Amino acid sequence: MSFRIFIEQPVSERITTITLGQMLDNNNAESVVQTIVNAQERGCKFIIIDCEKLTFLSSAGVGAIIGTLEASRDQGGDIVLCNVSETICHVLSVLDLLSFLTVKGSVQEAIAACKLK
Amino acid sequence: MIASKTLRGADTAHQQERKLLLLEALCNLADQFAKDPDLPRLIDSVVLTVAGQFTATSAMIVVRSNNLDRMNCIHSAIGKFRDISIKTNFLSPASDFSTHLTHSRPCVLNDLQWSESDDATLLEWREMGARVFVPLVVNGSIIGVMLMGPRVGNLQYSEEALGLLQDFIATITPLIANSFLYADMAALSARHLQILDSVRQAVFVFDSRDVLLMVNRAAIDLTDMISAGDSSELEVGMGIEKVFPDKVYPGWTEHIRKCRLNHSNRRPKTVIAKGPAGERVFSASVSSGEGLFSSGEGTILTLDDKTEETDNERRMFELEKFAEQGMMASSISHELNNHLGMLLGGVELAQIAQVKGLQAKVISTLGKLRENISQMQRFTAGLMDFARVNSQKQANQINDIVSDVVSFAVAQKRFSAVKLNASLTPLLPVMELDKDQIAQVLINILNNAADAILETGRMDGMVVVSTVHAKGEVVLAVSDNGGGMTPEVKEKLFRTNLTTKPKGHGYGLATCAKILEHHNAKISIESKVGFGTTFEFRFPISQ
Repeated sequence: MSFRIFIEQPVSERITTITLGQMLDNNNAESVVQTIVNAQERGCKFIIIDCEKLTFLSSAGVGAIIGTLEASRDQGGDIVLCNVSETICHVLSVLDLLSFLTVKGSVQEAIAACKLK
Repeated sequence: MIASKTLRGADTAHQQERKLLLLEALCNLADQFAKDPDLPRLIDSVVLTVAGQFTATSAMIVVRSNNLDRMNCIHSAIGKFRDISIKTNFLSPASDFSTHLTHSRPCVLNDLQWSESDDATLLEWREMGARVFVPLVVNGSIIGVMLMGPRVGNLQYSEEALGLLQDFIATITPLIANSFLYADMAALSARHLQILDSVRQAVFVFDSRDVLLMVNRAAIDLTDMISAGDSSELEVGMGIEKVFPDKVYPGWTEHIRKCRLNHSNRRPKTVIAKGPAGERVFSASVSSGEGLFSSGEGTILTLDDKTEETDNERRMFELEKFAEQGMMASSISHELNNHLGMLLGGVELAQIAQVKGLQAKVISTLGKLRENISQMQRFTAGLMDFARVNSQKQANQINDIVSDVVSFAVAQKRFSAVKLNASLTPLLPVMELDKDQIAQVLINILNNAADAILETGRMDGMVVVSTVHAKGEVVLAVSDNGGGMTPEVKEKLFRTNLTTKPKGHGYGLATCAKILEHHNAKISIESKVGFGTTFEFRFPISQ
C-alpha cells in the first residue's frame, strides 16, 4: 500500500505541495480530494502536485485533480502538476487535458510560478 | 462488459486509446465493487472516475435508496456540485426522477427538448450548472441520476462522448443496484445474527456436508466454557467433528447425523459434555432447516443448558430425602419410646410380682416383655431394610417393596387411628425398580393419605394399598377416604412448593413425580372433596 501514500507539505499560507506515491487511483483518489479541499478551505490558493514517483494515474485520479481545479482557479489560484513522467503525460494528452492543466518541470519551478501570480 | 456500437467501427488511434482508458477505468471500478461493500464510498469512486474520464469539472450522482430503513439518498459530488450536495436535501429530486425521465439516454440540458421545460427539478439542475444528466436505469426503473457539470476548457459534450458516457453508466448502474442488494442482505444477515445472539440457547447451523455455517453468541460462550480455553476457537467452515470432538462431546455428532437422517427422531434429547471445566448437561434439539440451504438440507442444533436445573433437581431430591429422614427419626423415636415405656413398666411389674412371690405373674409379664422385644426387632428390621442405600434400578418384586413399607408405616403414630390394608395380587412380574425410590414414593403417598383422613377427624379412616396386573402394566394404587382434593389442588399436585400442610415443604410430591418419571410410570388421580382420593401409578412391564 505504501505506493499509494501521499504527503502534503505546506510551503506558505498560499502554497502547499502534495507529493504523490506511485499510484493515484480509486483507492486513494478520495483522500487526495479531501486533502486538496482541506487546503483550499484554509485559504491555500496554489496546490502543487509532485508527480515524480507517479507511474499510474487512473480516471479516478484525474477526477481528483480536475474536480478540485475549478475551486482553486475561482479563488485566483491553481493546481500545478510537476515532475510529470512521459507515461502520465500521455494519459493526460489522450484526455485532452495537457492544454488545460498547468504543468511545470520541477517543484521549484512550480513554486516560483505560483509566487509570481 | 461494455458492448456498444461506440466501441466498434473505424476509430482513430486517439479514439481507441480513449476507449482503452475507459475500459480500464470500468475494470478498476468493477474490481472495487467486488471487493468493497461500502456503497457510499463506491459511489464516490464512480463520480471521480466519470469526471476524470469525461473531463467534467463537476459531477454528482444521486441514488435513491430502495431500502425503507434508509429513506434518504446516497449522493456524492465533486467540483462546484460538492457544496450544493452538502446543502441540498436530495430526497425530493430523487423521488421525482421517474416523472422527468422517459428514456435512458444521457440528456443535454441545453437541448431544445429540455431547455424549454419549466419543470422545477430540471430548472434546479440547470441553475446548479449541470450540462448533462444521465439516468441510472436498471430493468426499466430509474434508481438515480448522474449530473455532469461543464467540461474543462468549456469543451462540448460531443455525441461520441455522450455515447461513451451512456455505455459507462449503463455498465456501472447494475453494480450500484447490486450493491444495494448486498448491503440489504448484509443488514438482514446482521439482524438475524442479532436475534440469534439474543437467544439464551446455543445455536449451531451446519450445511448438508456438516460444515459449520453459523453460530450465535451463546454457542461461542458455551464452547469456551466447556473447553476452558483448552481447544481451538469456533470458526465458520469447521467440520462437525472438529466442532464437537467425541472426547469432549461423546456421541454428539452421531446423534445429530442420526436426527438429520431420521426425520421422526427430532425430540429434544439430553446430551452431556465432558470438558476440562467439568461436566455439563444439555437438552439438544435438531431440526433440518429446510429451505434455508441451497445445497440440500442442513442442520440446526439448539442446545439448552440444563446443568443448573439438573443440579437443583438433585438437591431437591436430597432435601426431600433429608426431610423424610427427619420425619422418620421423629416417628422412630416415638415408636421406640412407646416400646421402652412398655418394657420399663413390664420389668417393674415383674419385680413387684417377684417380691410378692407371684411366680405365675412374673412368667406372664416376661412373656409380654418378650413379645414387645420381638415387635421392636420386627420394627428395626423393617427400618433397616427401608434405610438401605440403593440408588440403582434392579430386578424387584413390587409387592415386596409394598409389604416392607406397609409394615413400617403401620408402626407410625399417624396410622394408630387409621386402618391400613394391603391388597396385593400375587405372582406379579419382576420389574426393574429402584427399591428405595419406590419406597420413598409409597411412604409419602401413605403419609399424605393418613394425614388427609386425620384432618377430617373421622374414626373410620382407611387407607388401602393394592397392586394389580393389567394390560402390560402393573398398577400400584393407594386409596383413602379422607377429605379429597379440589380440582385446583389436584392440578398443581406434583409441582414444587405446593403444600396444604402447616409444616410441609412442598417438595414431597414433586420428588415423587420425578422418581416415577425415571421409572416411566404414568400417574393418575381420582379425587372428590369429602369422599377421598385414589392415586394410581402404572409401571410398564417392558421397561
